[in-house]
Amino acid sequence: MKQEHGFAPDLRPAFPDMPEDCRDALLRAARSVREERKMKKYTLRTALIAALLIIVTMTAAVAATDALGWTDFFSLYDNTAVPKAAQKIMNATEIKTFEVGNLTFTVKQLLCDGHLAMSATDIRTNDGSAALFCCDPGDSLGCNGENGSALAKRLGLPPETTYTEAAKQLSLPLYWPRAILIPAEEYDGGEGMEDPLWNEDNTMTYFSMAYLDQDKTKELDVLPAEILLRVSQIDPETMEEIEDTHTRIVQREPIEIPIQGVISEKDYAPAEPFTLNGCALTSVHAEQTVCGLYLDRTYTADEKLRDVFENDPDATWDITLSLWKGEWLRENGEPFPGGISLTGEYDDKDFPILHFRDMISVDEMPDTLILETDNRQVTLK
Amino acid sequence: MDKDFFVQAIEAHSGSMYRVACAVLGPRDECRDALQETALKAWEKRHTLRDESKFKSWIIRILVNECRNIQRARRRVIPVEQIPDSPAPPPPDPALAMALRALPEKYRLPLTLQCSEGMSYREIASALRLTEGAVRGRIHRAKEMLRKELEVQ
Repeated sequence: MKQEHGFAPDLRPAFPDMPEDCRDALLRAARSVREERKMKKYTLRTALIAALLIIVTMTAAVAATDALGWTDFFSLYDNTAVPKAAQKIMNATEIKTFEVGNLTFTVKQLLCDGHLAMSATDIRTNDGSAALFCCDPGDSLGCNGENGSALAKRLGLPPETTYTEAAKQLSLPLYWPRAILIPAEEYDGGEGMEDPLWNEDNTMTYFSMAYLDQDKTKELDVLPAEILLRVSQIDPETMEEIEDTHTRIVQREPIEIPIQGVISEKDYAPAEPFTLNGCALTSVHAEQTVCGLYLDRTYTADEKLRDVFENDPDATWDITLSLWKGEWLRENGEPFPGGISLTGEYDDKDFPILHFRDMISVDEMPDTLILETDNRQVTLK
Repeated sequence: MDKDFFVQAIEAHSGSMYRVACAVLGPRDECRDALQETALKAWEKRHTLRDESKFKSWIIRILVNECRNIQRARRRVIPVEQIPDSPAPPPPDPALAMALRALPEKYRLPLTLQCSEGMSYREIASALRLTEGAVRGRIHRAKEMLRKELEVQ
């Protein structure tokens, strides 16, 4: 199970106490707001919204388009790649298109390997007319790195222009959509990520990844999930959501994603004893799926560290951080690309046994791994 | 969300909001402006909060946007005269405060949200509109940088 780091430096002493005049000003502002009765927006929220929903299912493979996909998404991260097998499966996804209010959502890439579930959804207006799509109306165009800066350039605006300012200047409707993959609760690992990219035609592709409970998913062939599609249109003058049956809708659409199971597993052992800061590397368990190679390093802490941990688990943070670092290399010394999970786990619930889990992006399990950490290397076979 | 809940929630999170504003703007009078504007804007946008249990990350996101608006305005304004801020009270740990200020904002802010405000990676990702992976990476880097700053002192 994922576990937060035990250590966290308490930074509250770095800040002065909130001055009384500041607190008073904040509470005065909060108390000054007016609660209006029977606002139109609340009426709409509680009413049944008859969304226009058209489901078109096509069995052909995804046609080549200029819209971005997961491979483009990961190209923005240093040294992270999508394994070929994963690309192939994602590109063979049965496309599902949903018209929700003024917007069309095209779920074009789906993939699940029991550890992760991923979706990529194109978002555009129903009639193809120009619009702005944002993550948050108060964000600046350029806040999404190179992709955001490219959007700003195409619009002919400085990257620090907010979406609301851009919509006003360009007289474009401003939408705040989401397309989130939500696994069934019993399989949900409790964490995930979502992020959009903007295409050359300024439409949006929305990426969503959910981390799963592998103990539960290993018995499944298909992951039950849903795609939550949210349409919200923002009035750039007021920054409020426009209340209208075509512009403020949340639709949940059930989907099932075939689970690409574990292809192979292996326990690597260090070619020679390797100890780092009082922790002996005992093994690395590897699980190969289409998404890449999941690696679980197991360390065992020595007596001295166990005593320290017993008295104060936080005091061992520096040591456990040093164990977390490291790069996986091929036999020829080249680093493996990072895995598409974009994250790792640290688990000390069975201390003195410590687990560090991360991922590399390979299509086949290598015979040999080299772990480079703390300017040292250990070969594992 | 009704007004009673809103006022209580603002009061409950006022300390966190102040610290986050300080993390972006520094301990200046502008923090008061940012907090007031955030309260007013948050009420206007209250219908965007669908789950009241997520109030904290929601208000923090609005506050961070407001702080950045102030930063942008600060860069555009050419002061005719310098009006000094009211002196900020000293923090309990000035060395820690200095070390934290030395970090670039992109690292300082997520670290503050985790280590001062106790927010989870997911909550921080939601508040800052980053991927969770990006949050983890930035916090990891921020802790390394903070440790080095404290060693130098």
